[in-house]
Amino acid sequence: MRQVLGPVRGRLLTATVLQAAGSVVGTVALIVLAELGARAADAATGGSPVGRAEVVASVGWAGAALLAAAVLVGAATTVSHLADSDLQLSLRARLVDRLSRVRLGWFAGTDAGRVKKAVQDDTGSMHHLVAHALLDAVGAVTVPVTVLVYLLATRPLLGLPLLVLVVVAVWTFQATMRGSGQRMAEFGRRMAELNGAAVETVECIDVVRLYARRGGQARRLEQAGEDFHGFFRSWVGQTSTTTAVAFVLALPLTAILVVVLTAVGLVAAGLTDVAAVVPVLVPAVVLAPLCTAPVSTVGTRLPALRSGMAAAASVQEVLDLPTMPTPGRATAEPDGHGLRLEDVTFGYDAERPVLHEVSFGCEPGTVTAVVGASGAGKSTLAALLARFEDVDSGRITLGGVDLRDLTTEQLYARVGFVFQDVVLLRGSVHDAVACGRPGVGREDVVAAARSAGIHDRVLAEPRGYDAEIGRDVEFSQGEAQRISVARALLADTPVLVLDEATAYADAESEAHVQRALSHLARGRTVVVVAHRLSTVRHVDQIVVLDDGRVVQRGTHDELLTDDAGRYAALWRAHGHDGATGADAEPMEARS
Amino acid sequence: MIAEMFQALGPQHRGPVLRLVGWMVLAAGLQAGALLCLVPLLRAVLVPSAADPLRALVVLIVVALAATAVSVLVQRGAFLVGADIGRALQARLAAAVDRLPRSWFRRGRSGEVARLAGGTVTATMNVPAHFLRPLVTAVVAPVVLVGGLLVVDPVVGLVLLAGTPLLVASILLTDRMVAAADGGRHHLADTTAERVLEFVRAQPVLRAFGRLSQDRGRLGDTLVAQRAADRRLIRVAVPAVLVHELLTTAVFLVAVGVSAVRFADGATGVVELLAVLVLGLRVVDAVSAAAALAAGMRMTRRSLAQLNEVFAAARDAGHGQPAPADDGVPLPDGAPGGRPGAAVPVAFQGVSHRYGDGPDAEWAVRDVDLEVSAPGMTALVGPSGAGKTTLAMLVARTADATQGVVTVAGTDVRRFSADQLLDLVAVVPQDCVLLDGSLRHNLQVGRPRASEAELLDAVGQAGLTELVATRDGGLDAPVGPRGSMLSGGERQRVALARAVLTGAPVLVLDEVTSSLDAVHDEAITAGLRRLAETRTVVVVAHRLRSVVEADAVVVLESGRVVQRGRHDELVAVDGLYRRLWTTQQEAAGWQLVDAS
Repeated sequence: MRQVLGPVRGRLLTATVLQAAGSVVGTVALIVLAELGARAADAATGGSPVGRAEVVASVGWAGAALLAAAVLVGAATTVSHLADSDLQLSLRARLVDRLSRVRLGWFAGTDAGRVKKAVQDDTGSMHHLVAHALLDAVGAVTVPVTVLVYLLATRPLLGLPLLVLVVVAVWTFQATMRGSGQRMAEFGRRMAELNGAAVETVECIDVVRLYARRGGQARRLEQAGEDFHGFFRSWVGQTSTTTAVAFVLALPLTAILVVVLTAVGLVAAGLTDVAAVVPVLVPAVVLAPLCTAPVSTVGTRLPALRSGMAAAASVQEVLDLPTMPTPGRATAEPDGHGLRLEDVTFGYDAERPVLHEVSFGCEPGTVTAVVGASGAGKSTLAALLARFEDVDSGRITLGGVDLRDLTTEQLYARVGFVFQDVVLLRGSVHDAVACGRPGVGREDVVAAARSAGIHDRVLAEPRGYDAEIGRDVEFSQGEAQRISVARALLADTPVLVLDEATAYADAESEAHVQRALSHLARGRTVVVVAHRLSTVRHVDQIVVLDDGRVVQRGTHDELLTDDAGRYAALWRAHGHDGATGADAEPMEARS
Repeated sequence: MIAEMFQALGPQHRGPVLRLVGWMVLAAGLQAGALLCLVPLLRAVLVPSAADPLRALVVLIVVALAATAVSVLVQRGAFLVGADIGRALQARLAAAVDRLPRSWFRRGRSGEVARLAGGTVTATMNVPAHFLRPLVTAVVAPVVLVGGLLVVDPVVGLVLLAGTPLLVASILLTDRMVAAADGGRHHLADTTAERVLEFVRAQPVLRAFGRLSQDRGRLGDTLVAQRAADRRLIRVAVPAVLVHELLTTAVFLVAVGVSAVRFADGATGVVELLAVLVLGLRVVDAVSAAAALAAGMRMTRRSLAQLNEVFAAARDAGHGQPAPADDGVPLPDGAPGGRPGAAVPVAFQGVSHRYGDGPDAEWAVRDVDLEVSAPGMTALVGPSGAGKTTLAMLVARTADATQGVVTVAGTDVRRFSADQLLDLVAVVPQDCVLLDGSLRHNLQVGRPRASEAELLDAVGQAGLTELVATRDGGLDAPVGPRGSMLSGGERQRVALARAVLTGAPVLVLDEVTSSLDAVHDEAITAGLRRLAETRTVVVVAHRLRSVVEADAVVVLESGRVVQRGRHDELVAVDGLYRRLWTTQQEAAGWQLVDAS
């Protein structure tokens, strides 16, 4: 909390001081008017008469003070709101900056919506906290204190019961909150369940509709709603009377009644007489409601306050994400484009490594396929090569330099990738292919698109390469993948990491994407994650992963010679038992 | 805000809320009345030979006690009514979500519903206690108090009365100005949110292609623009609120000033002056308290409007469709509940369908007449956009055909009740999302009391045996929220196993287009073949490999059926099917690097 508010602390302090001053001055104005009433009552009960000049002076001063108070409070509000808007901007900028430096793998495991919530919604939720709650609290304390101090100093016999009323009202209010910690926790749990139920119901609407009735169970959303509201209703039922009493204690009428009855009691006890008590009573009647009113507003503000605090915590959480260290400027230049993995161990959670001491090399200009059963660590390996993640131990070198010692620019000038999840950037088709590369003309873009087999599709759009993605044109997954291939072609990196699954994402695009990938692979250092063994039979090297370890390495033919090996088993599992495939030697012949 | 709330609540909840408002009026009236009773008391004390002070005091105490008692009851009632409102809205929301058309459930809707269920509904629960009461007080207290002052001192009363329209106008104007500045701000906030999402999703590309600083700059511009909008709002709202407060204070000051000067001049009595001081301040207070609620009310109003949009969409969903028979028609043989073992035929008669009803909405399916063999496996094939999925989903009534009739067991699907249709047709969509829980839980949804053997049999038919065997916990392994711990293909196979368990005689399956689990194709195809021996299976086939075994293949192009037959027959003639088949065969033989 303290940390999050750090940048605007000074200004919030200024706002606090302004608000306190405004509250005091405004209260003083009312005191002046109340004292005018006391003077009038005094005059009516035999005191010196009130002159016009005295009246004008009192009302004039009160007016001036009220104006000053309004200006002070207005200034406080302005300062706090400006501080809030600056804080929102600086927090969002810091969040965005942090997000552009965390490891890429983090995004894969995180819902983009959650990130959006931190950047946009949570910073917004803090608005109430920063812009309003603080000043509200200052006013809620300053005004009653000023009034009580004044009344206790000038009319202690009436001030004292009023102080008691304030204490009782606050105490009652606290009583309604007693045990609420536990209830709040349950409230939070049930609310989270309600949220989860809402999300699940909407996302699984088909399943929910088609099966829930049949399953004979109440729908989760309905049930969560009933649970939440049943709990809430019983909570309200238990506390509503106490809360209502607390509210009524804070009513203006109650405060006025307390001072009036006290005055009546004083007269009845013979401590004072009727004529003397009225001038004493009048200011108290005017000012008394100011003491208790804030108590009732606390309840209304509490939820917003709480969500503000929670928001601040979740913003801080994102701000504290570890970043991926990259050197600020180039310190070493890779020598050639060979890739080498040396004893690479990595796990998304340190306790359970996905890859164990993986070592192999890729000679420049060769194609290496990584194969293995699903869950063997193939995709993780690809993510490490593209530096979406950093190794836990061991190292990966490009041209002899550790990937971690390369600047982002150095790395991605050399390493390109085509993965399954294609994200096309907002903008024209031209921009999506050129990707902001300077000095790339339309003819370069067209050439790349042609090679990637997407040129004709683009021309089918009325605006062609100027068509805005998402507005003029929507690409299917397969088409988007071809654009990402064109992007990689144009980027022309000497090293390429690709996911063969890309090639059969969409049956109709399949042939196009395949052709484009073959074109792309030519003359580069390629590491391909292969899901179908048949597609990588002729690559220079096949690395077989099993449970995160390299169990075999070699060419297709070499690997098949070990009939008991993992590769041969995979090959058979893929339906190639024996003589399938023109190039596969019948296994019987080899054994 | 109140109107939006009533609209959201529906007519049956008007009564309790209106009754509560009635009690609130009474409570506020009694409170103001008790304050008015101060005037006779002051007069009795200050003006010699006036009425008996004791009597005035008793009247004050009686009215004040009545006010206090009613206020406690009203405030308590407000909390309880609030809780009831929350519950009612929640139930209406759940019911509305249930009725919404399938087309409504696009991306981002889950967040919206979560926000409505968590935020809007809870915010509305606070309306009676925290909004209605101060609002009622803000109206009733000034009316009673100013009315009383008019009697006590008409001159001052008139000053206050003259000020009222000014204050009301200032409240309305302020609200409108702030709302206007606020509206633009929200639009901008939405844009920012979208940009942030994009920035997050595109991180790999942005980093790899050196676009990071450029895009961060662009996002930065949006953020700065948002701050500029915030500042515009501050520039409008802060002075507007300030002016309103000054106006309120000014009206009060003028009334006090006039009264005090008249008192000094001897034109009015001390009681009148004190009445203005004490009561006038209460008027100011009540009005200010209501004005302070404006921001919260605007927020509640906006989110209630969203809630009402959802309700309206759910209401509209019912229009233009024949209502399903409440009890439905007698279940056909073959359905659980009907005579077991009989195959249930499915037919399309002159079916056309399009999404949306604008004149330029294109037909997704056009004039389809088709009888699906039962039992047996029918594959729908064709290029993307040919209408395969649309046609298949009409059977499950996830949408109703714009024209023509879809029948199951010879009966128009619209004549079955929703429950009956669930018994008849099981659907496995392409984008299966699983319920958070174990594999077992997800399967049992299909048949709650399925035996272990039945579960394992379904697992086998869906090609899930290996998955179950390798997971820690087997059937009890968690699938994660939305099934996120499984791949897309695995999720679909779980959904298939679930569909198998339901025992519905008709199965509609939309094959996943992208599957890392190509190796499991065989297992699924085998499972489907077995199912097709007793059930009517309709497969939307994206990969022709699974079509070879189908009893009938229906080839669609631009929404129309262009070819039908068995694979062998279709592949033998020149046509769309053969072209699709050839392309896919070529693709299957692809190699990243040629043999050379």
